[in-house]
Amino acid sequence: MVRFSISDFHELAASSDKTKLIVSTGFLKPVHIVMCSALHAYRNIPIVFQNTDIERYAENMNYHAPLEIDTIDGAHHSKAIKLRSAYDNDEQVKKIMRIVEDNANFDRGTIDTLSIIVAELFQNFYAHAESSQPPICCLQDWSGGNYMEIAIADRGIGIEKSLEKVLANHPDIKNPCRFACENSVSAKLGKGHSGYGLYFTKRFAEENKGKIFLASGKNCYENDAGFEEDHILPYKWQGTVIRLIVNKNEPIDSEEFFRQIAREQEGEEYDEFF
Amino acid sequence: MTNFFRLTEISSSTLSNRENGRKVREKILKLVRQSGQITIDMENISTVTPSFLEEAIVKLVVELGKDRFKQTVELVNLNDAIREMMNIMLSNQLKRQK
Repeated sequence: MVRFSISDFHELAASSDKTKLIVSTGFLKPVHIVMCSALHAYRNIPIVFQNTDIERYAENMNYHAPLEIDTIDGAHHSKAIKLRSAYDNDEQVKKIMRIVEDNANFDRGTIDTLSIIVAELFQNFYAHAESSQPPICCLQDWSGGNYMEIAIADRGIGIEKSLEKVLANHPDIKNPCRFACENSVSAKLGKGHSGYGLYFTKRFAEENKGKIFLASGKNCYENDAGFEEDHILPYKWQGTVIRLIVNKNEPIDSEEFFRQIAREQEGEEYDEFF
Repeated sequence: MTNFFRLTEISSSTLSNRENGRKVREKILKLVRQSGQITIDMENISTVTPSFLEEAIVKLVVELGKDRFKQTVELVNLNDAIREMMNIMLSNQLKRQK
């Protein structure tokens, strides 16, 4: 049984100053891989592993030099991968989803819905990070376990800065990460963006009885199968990191998933169009 | 005359980014100008992201207007999940315009 909690963020760093990160965790998860990788690749910060087995595993997962292509290694995990560009991630999404298909008890509808969510997250990390350094992604399935984890990290401007103008109109918002997961919240609303990526991700985690953790700066939002919590990170993460914990044994009804969201919105029905 | 446009011309099963969405919208507008009407076939398309739909369809509804869109554009063979996602997006967009 693999545990996931805010403590995973605490466990990552035994101590950290601006010159190095000392990793003390005894179990390296995808969220750790992408965070170590982003720090190392983009800030040139040395990562010091206290445990040599963990260091070997991290090396094997390519944390030190995320690959750009041909990233899938074996049936159960992807190595740390640099997403290629805002418009060229279809192959990466397909490779990630192949691992999900091979290891989760999901029907076609659940696979397609998760595929939509992963593709949209990739796109959004590019659109909102405002950084020339590509986001880094990693997926892991635990054989025999009930969950798999998809993690993405960037070193961009972060959620609070990205939503600065929107947040100015909502002084009551305490956690920008939680706010970013609400329906139709986007820094670029009205400019071709509509804010569905994180919202659909959150709703998927609720329906699938999985989890999401979204962290940026010192803010962290957790949704554990519908149970929401705000946290303060033990360190400041410059950029954004998300981990989606997928419950392999809980397929969703994809049609009902979107229909339910449509029903919850007050507004006109557009079935007549189609 | 009604033009026919298969979205599988753009991608075999996945439509997932804004750039492709923008290209599709431009192509649809061109075909509408040519013949006045267009049928868009989404057969075998299983994955469509909100970003793609925003660029390809939602902006098209805004550009043409709801009534003209209904008169000139027909979407066929879209699966129920994509239909519901489009409902969500169009409903939100039209609310924002009011």
